[in-house]
Amino acid sequence: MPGPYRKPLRAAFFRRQQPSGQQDRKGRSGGGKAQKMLYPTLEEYRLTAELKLNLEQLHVIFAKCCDVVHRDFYLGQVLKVGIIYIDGLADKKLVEDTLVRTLQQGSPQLARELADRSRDVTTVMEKIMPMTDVAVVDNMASLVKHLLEGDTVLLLEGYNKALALSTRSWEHRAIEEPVAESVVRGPRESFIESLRANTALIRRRLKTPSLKMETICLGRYTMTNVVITYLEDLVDPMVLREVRRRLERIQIDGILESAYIEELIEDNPSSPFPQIDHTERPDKVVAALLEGRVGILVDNTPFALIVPTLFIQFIQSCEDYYERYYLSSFLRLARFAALNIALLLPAAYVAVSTFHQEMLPTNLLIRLASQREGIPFPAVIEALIMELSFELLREAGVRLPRQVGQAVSIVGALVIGEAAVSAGLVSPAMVIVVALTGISSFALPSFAMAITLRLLRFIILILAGTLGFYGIMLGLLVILVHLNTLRSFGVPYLAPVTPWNFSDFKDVLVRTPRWAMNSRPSQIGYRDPVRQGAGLKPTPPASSNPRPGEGKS
Amino acid sequence: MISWFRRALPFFFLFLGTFFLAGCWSRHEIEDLAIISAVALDAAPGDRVRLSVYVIIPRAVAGGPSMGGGGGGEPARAGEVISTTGSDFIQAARRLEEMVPRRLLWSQNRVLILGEELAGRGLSYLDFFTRGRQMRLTTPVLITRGEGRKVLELPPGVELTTGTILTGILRNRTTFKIELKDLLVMWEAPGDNPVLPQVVMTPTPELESKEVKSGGDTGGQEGSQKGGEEKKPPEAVAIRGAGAFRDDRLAGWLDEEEAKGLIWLRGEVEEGVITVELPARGGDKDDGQASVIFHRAGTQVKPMIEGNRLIFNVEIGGKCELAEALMNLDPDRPEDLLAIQEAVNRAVEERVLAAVRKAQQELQADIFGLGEVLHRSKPRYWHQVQEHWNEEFSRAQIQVKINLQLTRLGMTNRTSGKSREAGGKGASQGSTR
Repeated sequence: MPGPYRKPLRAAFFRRQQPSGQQDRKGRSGGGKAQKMLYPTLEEYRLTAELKLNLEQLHVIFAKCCDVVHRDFYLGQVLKVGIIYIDGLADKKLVEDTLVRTLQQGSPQLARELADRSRDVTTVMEKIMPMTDVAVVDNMASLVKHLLEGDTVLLLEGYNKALALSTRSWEHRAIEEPVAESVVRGPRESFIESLRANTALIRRRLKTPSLKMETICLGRYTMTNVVITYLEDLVDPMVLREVRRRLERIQIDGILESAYIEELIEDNPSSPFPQIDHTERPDKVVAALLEGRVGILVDNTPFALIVPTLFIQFIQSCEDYYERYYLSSFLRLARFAALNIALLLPAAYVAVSTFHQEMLPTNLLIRLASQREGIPFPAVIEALIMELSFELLREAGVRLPRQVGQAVSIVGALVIGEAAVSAGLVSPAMVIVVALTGISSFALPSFAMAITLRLLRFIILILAGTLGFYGIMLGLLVILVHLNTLRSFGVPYLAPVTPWNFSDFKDVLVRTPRWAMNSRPSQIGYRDPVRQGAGLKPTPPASSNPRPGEGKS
Repeated sequence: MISWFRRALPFFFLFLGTFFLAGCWSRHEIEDLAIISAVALDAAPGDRVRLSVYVIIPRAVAGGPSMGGGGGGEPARAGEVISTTGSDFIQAARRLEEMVPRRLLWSQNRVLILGEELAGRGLSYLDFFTRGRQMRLTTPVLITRGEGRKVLELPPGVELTTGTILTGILRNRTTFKIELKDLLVMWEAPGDNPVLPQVVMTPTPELESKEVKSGGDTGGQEGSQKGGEEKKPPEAVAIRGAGAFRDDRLAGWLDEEEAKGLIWLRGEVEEGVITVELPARGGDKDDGQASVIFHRAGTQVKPMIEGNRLIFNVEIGGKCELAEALMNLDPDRPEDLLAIQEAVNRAVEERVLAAVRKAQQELQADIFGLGEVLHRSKPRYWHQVQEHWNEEFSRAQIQVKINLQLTRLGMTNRTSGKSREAGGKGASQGSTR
C-alpha cells in the first residue's frame, strides 16, 4: 500500500532526526554529571536484609515528609514487618481493614517459616496476600517510586526484597461531559486527570488485546506517566518507533500538561500551525486508533495527544460522524468557509475598500463610502483596532470568572458595537466584518487551529493594508508553501491534497456515508487499508433485489 | 546560526523586492474617492471638448433612504454634475481633478453619453476611455441629441443617480444596448458602422404629472415642487431611437420605428411586444387591436449574388404569445389567429424595411453589419467590394421574410365581454415596446 512518495519522505524524516546518543530511558537518572549533582539519585541506598536498617534509610529519604505513614507489626504474630504508604495516595481503608488485619492474622506456621528463611518472599503473595496487584521490589529506587505512586510497600524482617502492593486510590474528578468538545449526539464522557481512568475509557471501547498501552515515565520531579496507545495491527511501526524515540529523548524536570510533550515532539517547532491534535474525548482517540494513529495519554491532564495529525483534522468534528452525512458534509463545507473567513475577511475588506474599489458593485461602494465618511482612521488601522479590541474582549471573557465574564461581554458589545459606531470612530461595516470574523473563528471545532488563524489574520491584515490583494496573495502563498513543508511524524500535513489521493477525499470536504468509508486514510492506516466490507449500503431485502457478485473482505 | 542567516538573506531580499517591484501601490481610502457614475462627452466651442461627470455624493445617497425612511421628504440629489473643457479629454479630466477635492474613480462609471456635436466630430475622442486603466469596456454607450450634459442633470426619479436610471432602462431590453467594446468592434469592422441607442429627454406630459400629484407619493411631491418653482414640467428620460454613424461620424438619426427595425435586422431582438391593428371582421363593428409578446426571436441573413446584384435574404423567426386583444377573438376560428399572426409579421416587415430604406437611401451606411455577414460567407466577393462597401450596400437588395408564429393565447382564450367595442381607443400606432 505505501505510495511512491513514501520512501523519499521517510528518508528525509530520518535524516532530520539525529541519533541522540545513549540516554537512559528514565529521565530520573539524568544524563550528565552536572545533572547528577542537581538531582541526587537513590543509587547509594540499598535494600538490606535488616528491616531496621531499611526503615532508617527510608526515614532519611522521606525526612520532613509528613504525609508518609509508617507502621510496624508482626505477620502472624511472629515475623516483624513494616508497611509504608503515602497518606492520600494509598487507600487507607484498604490498608487498615484488609491488609494489616489479614497479615496480622496470618498463620504463625507460615510466619515462622518465613522467619527461618526457608520460604521465599513470594510465598507471602501466594499464601496470604489479599491483593492481586503485587510487585516484588529489590532495590530502593524502585521502592521509592512505587511508594510515590501510591503503592503500599511491605518490608519483611530478614529479606532484602520488599512487596509493593497496589493500593492507589486518590481523590479525582468524576468523569464528566467534555467541556471544549461538546456534542449534541454522541458519547458524553471526557477524559479526566487520572491516567488509569483514561486508559480504562479507551480499553472499554476497544476490547481487543491488539490495543497496546506502553508506559513511559517522564519528568525528573513529576515522574509523569505517559502512555503510548495504539492498535498493534494497524499502527505504522515507523511512526510508533518515532513516537517512542521522541518521547524517550525528553529530559525535563516536570510535565504538567500534554502541551509540554506536544512542543517537545513536534516536527517543526517554529511553525504557527499545530501539528499534533489534542482531545479530551475518548471516542475521538479511539477513532484515531482505528485509523492507525497513535494516542499519547499523559497523567494529570484530561487532554490526550493524537499523532500523526493532518491539517484537515482541524476542521473535522466528532459529531460529523454521529449526525447524518448530509448535514455533516454541509457543516464541513461551512467550517471550511469559516476557516477562510476567519483568516481573510478583514484583510479582504481592507484590500477591497482601499485598493480595489472597482471590484465592488456601485451601490455597495457608495454605501461603504458613506459609512466611512468622517471616520478618522484609515481602514487598516480601523480594522486593527477593532480586531485587537475583539481579541482583548474575548481574552477577558475567557479568563474572568463566569459571572464577571458576562458583564465584560455586555460592556464589550455595547462599547465596540454601539458606542464606537455612533461616536463615528468606526464604521458599521467594519463592526460587521469583525463580528463575522469572530463568529467564524469560533465556528472552527479546533481551538488550536483557531488561535493560529487569529495570529495569521493580523499579518495578512497588515499585508492587505499595504499591498492590497497582492499582499493577501503573497501571504497566502507563504502560508501555503509553509503548510506544504510541514509533516506530522513523517506524514505530509496537507494529505490527501498534497500528496493527492482521491480516495481519501471521502472524509475531507464532505463526509461520505459510513458504508462508503471502506478504507483507512492511505497515509496513516496503510498497513491494513480495508476498514470494512464492501457493499454495506443498506438495500431492500435480498429476495426482492438480489445483488450479484458482492465480494466480502 | 550564521549559515542560516546567509541562506535566508537572498530570500529576504527577494521578498523585499516583491514589495517595490509590484504594480499596485496605490492606497486610497474609500471616503477619499469621487465616484463617477455617469459621463457625458460634448463638444465645446473652438475645437475643444467638454467633459461632464456625475459624481456621487455618498452622504446623500446613503442618508436619503435610511433617514427619510418613508417620511416622504424630497430625495436629495445624489450627486453633482461637474463639467470642464479642454483640448482633449485627459486635459479636461485633469481640470476636473483641480475642481474636485477627491480622487476621481472612473471604474464605477455606469454609462457614457455622447453629445450630438461631438459624435459629428468623430469617435476618435473615445480613445481616453479605451486606454485608461480604470475605464471599463463594458460601459454602455448612449447618444443624445443636443448636449449630453443635459441628460446628466436630470432630476432623480425612481433611482437616485442618472447612471442607475439609464442602466436600469437598458436592462429592460426595450431597445438595444451597445457597450464600449461593441462600439469599438462596430467601428473597427470594415463591414459595419456604429449605431448607438439614443437617449431623449421627454417632458412629462401634463396629464401624467397631474395624476402623480394627486397620488401624493414622494415623486409627486417632488414633481409639484419643481413645477411650482420653475414653472417647467419635470423632465424624464427615455431611450428610444438611435444615432447612426457612417464610419466614425454621426450620419443621422433613426426614429423609434426604424430603430426597432434595426435591431430586428441586427438580430439583437429576443423578446418584445408588438401591437397591431386588425381590420373589422364578422362579429366586430370596428377595427380590432391586438398585442403580442414575442420571444425566442432569431434572425438569419444569407447573402446571395445574382449576376451583378447583391441580395441579402433576411429571415426572421420566432414565437408569439397573445398579450392583449381588444377585439372579438374566437379561439376556435383559426382565421382570427392567423389574421393576428399575419398582421404581426407585416408590422415587423414594415419596420425592418423602414430601417433598410433609411440606411440605404438617407445614411448610405451599413449600420446592420451586413458587410460582416458577407465577409464570413463570401470572402472573395467581399474583398472586391470591401473598399467601397457603404456604396455597395446602398445598392444591395434586401429581401425580408418574417415568420413569427402565434403559438399561445395567454391565460384566457376568450376576450372578456361578448361584444366589445375596442378599436377607437388605441389610436393608430402599432408600436413595439
